[in-house]
Amino acid sequence: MLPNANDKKDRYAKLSFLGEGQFAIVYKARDTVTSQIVAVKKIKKGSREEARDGINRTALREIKILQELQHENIIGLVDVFGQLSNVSLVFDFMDTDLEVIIKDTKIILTPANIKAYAIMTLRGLEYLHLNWILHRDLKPNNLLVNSDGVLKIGDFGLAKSFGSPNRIYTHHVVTRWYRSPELLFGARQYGTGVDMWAVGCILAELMLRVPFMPGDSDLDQLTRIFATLGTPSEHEWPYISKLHDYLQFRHFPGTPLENIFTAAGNDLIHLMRCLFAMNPLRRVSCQEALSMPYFGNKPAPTVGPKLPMPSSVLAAKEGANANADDKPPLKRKLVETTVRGHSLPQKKRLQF
Amino acid sequence: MASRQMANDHLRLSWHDTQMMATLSPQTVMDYFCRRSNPFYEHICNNETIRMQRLGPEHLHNMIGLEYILLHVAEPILYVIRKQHRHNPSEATPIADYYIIGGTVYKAPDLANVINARILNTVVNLQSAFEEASGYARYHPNKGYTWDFSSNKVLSDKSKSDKKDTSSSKDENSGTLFQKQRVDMLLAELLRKFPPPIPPMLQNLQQAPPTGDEMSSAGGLNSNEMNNATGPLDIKTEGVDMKPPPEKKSK
Amino acid sequence: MKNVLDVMSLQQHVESNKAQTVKPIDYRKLNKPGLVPHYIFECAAKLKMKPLTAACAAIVYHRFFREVKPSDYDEFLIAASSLYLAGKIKDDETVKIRDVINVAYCTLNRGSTPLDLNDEYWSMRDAIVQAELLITRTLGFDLNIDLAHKYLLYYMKTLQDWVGPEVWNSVPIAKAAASYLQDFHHSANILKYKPTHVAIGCLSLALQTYGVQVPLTDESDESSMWYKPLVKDFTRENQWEIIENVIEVYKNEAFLKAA
Repeated sequence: MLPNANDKKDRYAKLSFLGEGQFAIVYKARDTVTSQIVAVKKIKKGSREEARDGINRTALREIKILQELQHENIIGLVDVFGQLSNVSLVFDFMDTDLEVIIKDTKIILTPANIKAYAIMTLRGLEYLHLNWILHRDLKPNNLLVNSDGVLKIGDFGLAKSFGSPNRIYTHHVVTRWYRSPELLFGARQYGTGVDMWAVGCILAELMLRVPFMPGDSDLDQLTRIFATLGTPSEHEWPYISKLHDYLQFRHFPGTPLENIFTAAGNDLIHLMRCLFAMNPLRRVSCQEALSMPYFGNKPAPTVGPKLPMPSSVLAAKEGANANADDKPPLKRKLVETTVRGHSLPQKKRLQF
Repeated sequence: MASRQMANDHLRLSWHDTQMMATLSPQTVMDYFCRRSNPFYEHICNNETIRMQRLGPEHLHNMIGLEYILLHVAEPILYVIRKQHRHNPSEATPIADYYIIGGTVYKAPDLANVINARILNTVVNLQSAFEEASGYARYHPNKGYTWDFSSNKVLSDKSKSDKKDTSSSKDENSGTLFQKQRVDMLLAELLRKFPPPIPPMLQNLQQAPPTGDEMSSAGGLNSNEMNNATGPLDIKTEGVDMKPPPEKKSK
Repeated sequence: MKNVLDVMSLQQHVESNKAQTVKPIDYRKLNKPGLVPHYIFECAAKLKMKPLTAACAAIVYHRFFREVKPSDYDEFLIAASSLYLAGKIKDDETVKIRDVINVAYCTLNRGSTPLDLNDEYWSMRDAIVQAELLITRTLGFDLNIDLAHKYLLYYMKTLQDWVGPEVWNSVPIAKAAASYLQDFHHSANILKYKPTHVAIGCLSLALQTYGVQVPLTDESDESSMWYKPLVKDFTRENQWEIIENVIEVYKNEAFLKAA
């Protein structure tokens, strides 16, 4: 890539506008050299004040981390280039994400589908953790899925390498609904457990089709967690009271998981229980989770191409296939007009 | 092995929920059946998955796996629910049926179980008849073998405790006359629809029209004469005025 | 005679540098090798930067000028920008642009007060920010810089066990090796060697400075040298080259101070 990653902007032909987030605008584009369809994330210059700060730290972090990683279930950073005072990142194009799939009531998520998503997420996460990186922002919105049914973990803006004892960790990470209790109690040091808790919440959301514990505030979030899963005892979580922002909550017995997830088999309930262990040291790791009987038992996980796709993705695919017809270009135009201009229809919003 | 035992145990089980059973209707009966406390309901089925995800029942057709459907409604008391395995939107293999009468759920026996039960009945009765009869046999070197029914003295008391047990347990399973007649009629229809195949060698031996009329009655069946046990048999449906078979057990 | 290391003269250099009263260098007037890296490290010290961040800034600077012609760019601007960029790369929260600007300005223009928020400040800020982007693009966005420090730490820990605690504690090997490593970043030649080799080279020099012999090694036999199990492809040639480079850094520094 050395030198002069400057003349790249013409290499990627813009196809359509995909979404807009806090820091960047995302376009769908085609790589004129490889004909690969990609997503180009152009980091916004921001306000005058922000622009005078130079390169966005979040973007830099993302670049650094993604350059080193290569895995089927991690979003691939294809290229980075500069354009005037802008930096653009080029990613694999992903048609949709898990949040869209969960919210689409026309799709039914069978146990086999859920298992497939779980395996792909855990595989990607295992690779991340083996490379000493915490994602710190896992949620259905950041689990991207393409039309071949491959799930890739995306959005590494909050990711960080862990393991070094000197580093300062901020506890304001992970979207509140997926935040683990140690983070809510203000832990200044934490580990892979924060990602595993989020995986548990995502798995629950796949089964219930609604967010499992949607809290309005940090306190409300903790209350919900303990009301649902039971308040941890000092025996279950030694030294919990030593956490920075620890508060004593009243004792909740919690509901047995099998009563919440009525259609789940015993092996899945066991996995959930291990993911929702209150004590982060006792929470299961990716490697341990993947070797649990749930992943070996029937039903087998659905293969990629047979995973359910939201109707918008299927329509787009059909439009792309029937290229000879007059109709498809009209379809594509329709899509563009609805998304041009203001903020996106809910399903296309990308959070940065 | 264990699942077969469990399946057979289910035939002896019944379940009901006192609160919900008062208000059963075609709309609510599926919710009634799909309760976790119901031993006939397996909670790892497509119905439960749909309920957990709060979706409508239209998705059932598109899923593969175990599902329960409402098969037949005869209001106000009878509902039949079928447990089947769905392979694709147009094909499903039935596994078992359950009927709800007056709010109580039972498992409907399948053909194998009905025939087994009937045969068991027959065999038990035959066996006890033979045992009883053998008690009346007499031998004398001068006269040879004779029967002596007059004295009512049973020489060898061959009463075994399990005979009594099977007969007593048979009590619960013997149904009403109406049920028996109905089952006989159904069996006859099935036989007409699916005549059992005759092995080629026995076809030559088959002569007189079948003699196994009173299959369900005890005694009378001389096994020596009946070589072609597999030949087509006409089961005469019992008329109401036919003499009831000599039942040893009390009803 | 390459084999004879002039340890004595090296020690002399180190001592004389320490003994001199620190006379602030006027960067604008001089033009000697090693000037700008020296500037970088002086600013880094003033910014209370972590040593890793400072080393990262130096590497960024050297890499940039490996790709372009030095005369096309203001080296001090690139230096300041490298410091700022290194803060971002290494996630060093303490490096704020206002501080970088002030330190960079004041070090260049000795005796002046920190800049107010005037036009000169804003134009300098813009320049640094634009330079940052330029540097990043010139480096092809390859910002994963593998520094030698962690390797040095690992090798020292290993060696500490080999030579034994009495020997290790009797002389400040760790300090010396770390100093040599950090100072080597003043030279652009550091880019020529793999970070593992740089680490071994500095450690080896430290051992020789204090005359520590690693047990069971034989100078004449290459394969029995202590660094062989740590870094397979390191040769005695590499070792001498690195040592020479480090000595050159100190020579240059002496000239700078003398001027």
